[in-house]
Amino acid sequence: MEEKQRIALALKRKRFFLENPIVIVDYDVGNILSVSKALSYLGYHHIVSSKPEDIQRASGLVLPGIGAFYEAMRNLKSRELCSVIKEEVLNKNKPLLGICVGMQILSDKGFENGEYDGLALIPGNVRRIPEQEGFRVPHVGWNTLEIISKDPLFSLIDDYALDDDKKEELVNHFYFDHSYYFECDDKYVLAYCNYGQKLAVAVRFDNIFGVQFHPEKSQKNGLKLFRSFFDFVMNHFGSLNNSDVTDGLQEAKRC
Amino acid sequence: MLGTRLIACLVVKNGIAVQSIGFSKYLPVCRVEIAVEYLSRWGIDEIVIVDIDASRAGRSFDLEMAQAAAGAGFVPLTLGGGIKSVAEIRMLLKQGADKICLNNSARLNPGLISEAAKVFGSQCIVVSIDATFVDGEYKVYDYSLGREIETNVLDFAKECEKLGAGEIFLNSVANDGLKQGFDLDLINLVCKAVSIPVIVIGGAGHPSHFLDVLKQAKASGVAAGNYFHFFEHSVIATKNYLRKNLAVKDLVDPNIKGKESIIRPNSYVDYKGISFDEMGRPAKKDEDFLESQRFEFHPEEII
Amino acid sequence: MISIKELKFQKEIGKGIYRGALIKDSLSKKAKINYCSRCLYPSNHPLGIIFDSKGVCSGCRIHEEKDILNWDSRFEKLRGILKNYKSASRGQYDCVIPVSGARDSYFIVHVIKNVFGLRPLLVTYNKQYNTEKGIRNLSYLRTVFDCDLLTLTVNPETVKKITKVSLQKMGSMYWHCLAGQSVFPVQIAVRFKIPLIVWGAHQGIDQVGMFSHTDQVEMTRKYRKEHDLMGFEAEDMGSSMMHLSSSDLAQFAYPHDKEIEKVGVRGIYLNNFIRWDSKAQHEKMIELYDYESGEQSRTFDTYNDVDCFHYSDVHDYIKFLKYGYGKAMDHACREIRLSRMSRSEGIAHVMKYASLEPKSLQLFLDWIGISKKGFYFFINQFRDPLVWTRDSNGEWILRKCIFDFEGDSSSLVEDARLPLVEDKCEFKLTGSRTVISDKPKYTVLGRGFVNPEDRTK
Repeated sequence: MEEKQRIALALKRKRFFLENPIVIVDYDVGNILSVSKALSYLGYHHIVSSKPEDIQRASGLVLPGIGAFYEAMRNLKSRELCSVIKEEVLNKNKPLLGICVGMQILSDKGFENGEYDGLALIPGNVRRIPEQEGFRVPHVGWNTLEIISKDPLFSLIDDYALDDDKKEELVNHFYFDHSYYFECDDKYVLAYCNYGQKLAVAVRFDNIFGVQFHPEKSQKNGLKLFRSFFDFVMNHFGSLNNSDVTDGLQEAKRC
Repeated sequence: MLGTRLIACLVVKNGIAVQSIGFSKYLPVCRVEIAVEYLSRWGIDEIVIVDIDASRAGRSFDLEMAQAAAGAGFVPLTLGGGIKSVAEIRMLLKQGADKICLNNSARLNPGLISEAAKVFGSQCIVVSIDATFVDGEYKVYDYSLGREIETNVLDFAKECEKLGAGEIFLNSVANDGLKQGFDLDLINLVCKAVSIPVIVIGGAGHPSHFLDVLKQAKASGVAAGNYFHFFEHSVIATKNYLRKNLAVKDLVDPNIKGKESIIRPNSYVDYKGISFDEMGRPAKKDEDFLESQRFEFHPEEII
Repeated sequence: MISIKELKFQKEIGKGIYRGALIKDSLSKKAKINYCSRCLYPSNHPLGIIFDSKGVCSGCRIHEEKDILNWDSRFEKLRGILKNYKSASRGQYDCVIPVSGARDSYFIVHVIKNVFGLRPLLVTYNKQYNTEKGIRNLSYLRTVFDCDLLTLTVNPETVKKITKVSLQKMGSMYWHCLAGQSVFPVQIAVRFKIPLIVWGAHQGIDQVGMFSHTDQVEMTRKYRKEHDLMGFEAEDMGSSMMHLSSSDLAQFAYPHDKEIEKVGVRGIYLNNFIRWDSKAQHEKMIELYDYESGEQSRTFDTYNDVDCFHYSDVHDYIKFLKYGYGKAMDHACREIRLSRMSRSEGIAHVMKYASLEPKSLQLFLDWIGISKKGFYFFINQFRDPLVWTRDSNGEWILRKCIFDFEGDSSSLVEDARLPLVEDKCEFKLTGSRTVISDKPKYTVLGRGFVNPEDRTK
């Protein structure tokens, strides 16, 4: 992309998200700082909040999470956020990205240390990764994906790169750290990861997205995912308005 | 395919990252957040930060340092040092840690492992075991006492797994800072004894040391404390060395073509085509190549 | 005692002076500065320093390697590295050497050119604060070694703006020198495709034992950012208040990672391969090449830093105002470790020079265009609360523990003491090549400059 176009796009993002910030939902389940830092680095204005009024004026929502299913759901309930989130996401079609346990709670039920209800936003259950020879649990480290659908999460990710011997190498890896996985119908799956069996690691139901891995900890692949997802949020919220781009270019010339 | 992680360990003493030699000699290196920034830039897979003063001083990991470290890079962080309660773990996870590491606490209060695993999930709990070879067996080394205790490392590792630990962070006291290679016997014994991931550290001084671990043991991650501070782009050059010397596997799944290496490239800079001198540092490039670079433009990567 | 509010303020604006636990500890009355049982370095050394159970610092412990390592075999290791970088084609330079009119530059070029027979390209950053002696040393460096020399001179008005910003952001008047000296060789290495840069001593090893000599540490941008530039790279220096933009700072921009990779830039330090002794090395250079030494106002060492009006003067005084010690301390520690100076003699030097007012402060203030009051306003914000406190009149005074060298650890000092190998530690004062007196005026580099006052009517 040319320098001028890049500056114009950056200005467009800045203006859009200042008026319609992304909200990182703060429900005391870790990890907010890293997501926030990634968004700041990429130039997306956002707020960290657990207030319903903030969630209501958000352009998009992020449900981060490190921890156990039960605690995550309990914290959401105690902050009375379940209905607000459902309202925004189901009735107002707001894009939502759940990360790790934030993705797992989108399910119907989670079976970590008991049986607990999830938000039931994407049909599926969360079960323990089965123990298998050669596949230690928790599944922790960098693993590659089998991407079924590139847009809008993986559109900037290169699946392959040439290694030193000019052979194609699969490089669409992300950082995982989990013992439980999202079990659901294939039609919701955007990407699988092979770990003894095929695990669904990126899921989607309309405007609701979930990723099992941590984009905020996945170096450049993770940043690229955030870039394509939040640009999607910007374009999803209002239609892509050509005059915005022209205005941006004018302003870029003045800088 | 799950890659094997190349991990940096920052040992923190007096509020700064230090080199550790034999668990007794320490050399000051740099501030933690600068180390995290550059290691992240150099494509490190994970960073473990251990505050070795915390237990003795009766405090937990400094929250401001945790925040500064988490804000400095886009890498997974494991924080350890003086952690004694679920509340402290919660605070650290909130400040940006992905995992926490228990050392003394795991021995003095094993119930903490299971309690924390229940609340946060096993994947957040790493138990750090320092090992030393005494009287024909590997015994646990207590760094606050400065000597080994009568606990067998393998038994202890198995116990931690049963209690709910997600990973073992295994350190060799004797090899610490010697730059003579890892203790492969120790690594093999522990990896065979447990079925949870094991990260190993202690003795790296040359890229071939990491290669030995990858070829001869089943560690899930190989870590170094001092080594990554020695030269520019140390992580990238080391990864390149390992990738060159490890067999690249064909992908099994017929739906996906191509190959995979267990060492994952994570940075724009990759040191392709490099060769290494005897110290394991990048050697001079071919003069014809350098000549050809006069007319090449290399843009910065912008996401 | 400094209030918590002031400390927080210091932390915020002094981004480069984060000290985590130390700052919190300073709130307790028990917090004090400790000194090495052997060399005198204080525990608040800005590079970080660790004292072992005997109270001896990491710098002294690493220095002990100098008498243990086999320096002949290390010299051969250096030969091996340099041999790999020797260019096959006759037109190319083999390496880049950053030089100045002082500081072991002669020794480094002597080793690389005359001992190892490589063809170096010399590069220097014009510090602006140049003495005539420094200019002469630099010119003669170029001539006696018959080398090519590239100089980076940044427009003085820009440098003044940058220095005002560095005074405000980190209380430093030297940022541009450190940034320029450390970035220019790398820019040249990338631009001219000369991968090897040869430095003299790694300051971290030399002062606080940051690395073992056997680690063979190399130049990293990481070290530069934290320790040379106090946490502020060129991108962090922009200031709308001072009208300092990124184009003003363009000369200080580090080549990005891909460029470094493509050329394979590496910076090595000779003190990993040669038993480093700055005093002996300078004396050899005086003998062989008539290197000019000069009296310094704040230290007894007459060999280093003769090229700059301020390094061992205002800049050093600023260091004292911040950390409670200066160059005399660095030099005393160095000589004590080399068993040429006794601890008591070192203490005498430190006490004599520590609080001496700088001689060239007005010269600097006139150049940069700020008042003495303004100067102290900037610097006072960075005084270490472990070292300085204010009396009832608001005057800055040293805390009682400062320069308390014996403390309650006299037996540790006795145990750590090194037997002297030389009776005296004296520094030569050479003559000058020209008769012109060193007027307190910066000398612009380059021949052909005519001082307006000298112009004939």
